[in-house]
Amino acid sequence: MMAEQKIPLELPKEKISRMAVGIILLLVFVLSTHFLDLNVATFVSRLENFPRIAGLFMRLNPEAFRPGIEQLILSVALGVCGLAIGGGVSFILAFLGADNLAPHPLFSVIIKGFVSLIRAIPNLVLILMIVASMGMGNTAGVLGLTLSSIGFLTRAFISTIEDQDTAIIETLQATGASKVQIIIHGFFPNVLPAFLAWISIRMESSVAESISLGVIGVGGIGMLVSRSIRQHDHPTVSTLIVIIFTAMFILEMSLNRVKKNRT
Amino acid sequence: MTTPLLSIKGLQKSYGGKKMVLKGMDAEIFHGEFIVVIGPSGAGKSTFIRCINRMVDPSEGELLFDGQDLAKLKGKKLRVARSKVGMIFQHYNLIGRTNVIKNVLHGRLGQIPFYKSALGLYTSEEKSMAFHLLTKLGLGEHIYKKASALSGGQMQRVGIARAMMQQPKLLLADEPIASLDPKSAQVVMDQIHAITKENNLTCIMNLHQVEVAKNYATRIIGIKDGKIVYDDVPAKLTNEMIDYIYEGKEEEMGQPATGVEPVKGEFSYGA
Ligand SMILES: Nc1ncnc2c1ncn2[C@@H]1O[C@H](COP(=O)(O)OP(=O)(O)OP(=O)(O)O)[C@@H](O)[C@H]1O
Ligand SMILES: [Mg+2]
Repeated sequence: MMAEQKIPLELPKEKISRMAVGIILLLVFVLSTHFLDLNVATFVSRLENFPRIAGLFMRLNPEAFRPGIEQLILSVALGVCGLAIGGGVSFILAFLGADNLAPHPLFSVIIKGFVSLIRAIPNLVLILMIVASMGMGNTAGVLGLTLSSIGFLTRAFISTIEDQDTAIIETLQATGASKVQIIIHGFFPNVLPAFLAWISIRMESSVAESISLGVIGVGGIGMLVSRSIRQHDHPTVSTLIVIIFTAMFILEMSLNRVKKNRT
Repeated sequence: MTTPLLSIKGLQKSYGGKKMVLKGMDAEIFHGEFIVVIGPSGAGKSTFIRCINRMVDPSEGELLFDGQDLAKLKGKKLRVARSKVGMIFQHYNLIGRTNVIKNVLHGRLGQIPFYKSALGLYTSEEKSMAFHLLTKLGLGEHIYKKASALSGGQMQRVGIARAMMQQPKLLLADEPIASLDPKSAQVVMDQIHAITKENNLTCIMNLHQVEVAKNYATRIIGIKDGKIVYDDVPAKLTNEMIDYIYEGKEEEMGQPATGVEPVKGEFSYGA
């Protein structure tokens, strides 16, 4: 038997750097709360009002159902439209921008840079910028949703494509296949189910974003919500929220199966 | 004298300009030969075979094949030349989510326009050729199965069919049996041997197992440290020569005939 010996499971260096990260994170959190000047006392005192306000919301307004659903359809349509256009563009960008398939490394750099840029801007700000430059309306809404879909999907698609084994390219190259053939026969069968999963995931956020767009003046159910809040029409707000909740729930449930195919 | 099918002159390769992996190789390969390349791990066998169809770009040298220098080809011409050279891989390299017959038809990709393959517009001759190849290899009843659902031995037979589907003038095989159990390895070797003989096809194959090499080869090329140190009929391959080739790596000679590595399902790209 060997003499009893202490065997550390990691190098001291790793341990120190891990602790340093922990301390920095804690510091950032403490600083942020301090900076925001969160006042717990006020928050608690306002909690008293909660039952009264909640009571106001406990009623529904049956008359709001019809316009609510009509506007919901508009919101969903905007979301789907932005998703469809964004999905198509992302599909092309992804095959041009993935490291392993880019016609030239520059394509990859430029496309990934463009996508990072879109992603760096919060979606709502992005859409506000478009609304500011194009005016309110469905077109601006769709364009905004398209851009944010591109930001999400291109990156997701690229990571799926780059995850594929390099031997696929090699193997089909050996038969004399062209780049396009390699993509169609080697990559499509493997990536399409994953792409579909990414699209379903994005579908939910696209519809959700489209609903919140209503608040900033693009049409849709969000517009009704913000209007009724301003008018203190609580029963209508509740009704609209019920509609939105139900719709999102159904959407989520129906997409769950497809979403599992990711990666 | 007949002209060689492939003549390799002064072939050199260094990856990224560092150490030389192939240090100047010369060989003439004639029609109908079954050449087995042996040598210890890291000697450059894969690099050698992959230079021939330009999976790896040689740093120096000529590869005269079918009247042109493969080492100089680019773009479309390179693709056409590659389509005449079939390749069988250690890990089969099938597209796992695609069915067996479509995997075999991939062998035609280099010879038909992209819209035809994209729309599945293979000719009936091509389809029946694929079917006959598969039947012959004992896979007639599996043609609609997903490639990922096959066993390793079956996958490799699909790999053979795909390479044959190219109607190649030269067949390359990089350790085609290294991932198979002994029994499947035997079947696969026999089938490659039979199919090349029947079609009078030239074959260059890397193998780890000297005994297997002796059984099948018409000629053995021994590579040691990036150089060809033996190039003759199997009968003349003495034990001294074998010892010399594997010098310092003796443990590799004694490897069991097959089943050296476990079959890795992921290499069918099924995941
Ligand atoms: N893509 C690559 N980049 C850099 N070096 C490489 C690459 N491929 C192979 N090498 C190096 O070249 C040398 C020869 O490798 P090669 O794969 O040709 O050997 P091999 O004879 O086929 O070995 P094995 O029997 O293990 O398959 C090795 O030292 C290897 O590390
Ligand atoms: Mg090798």
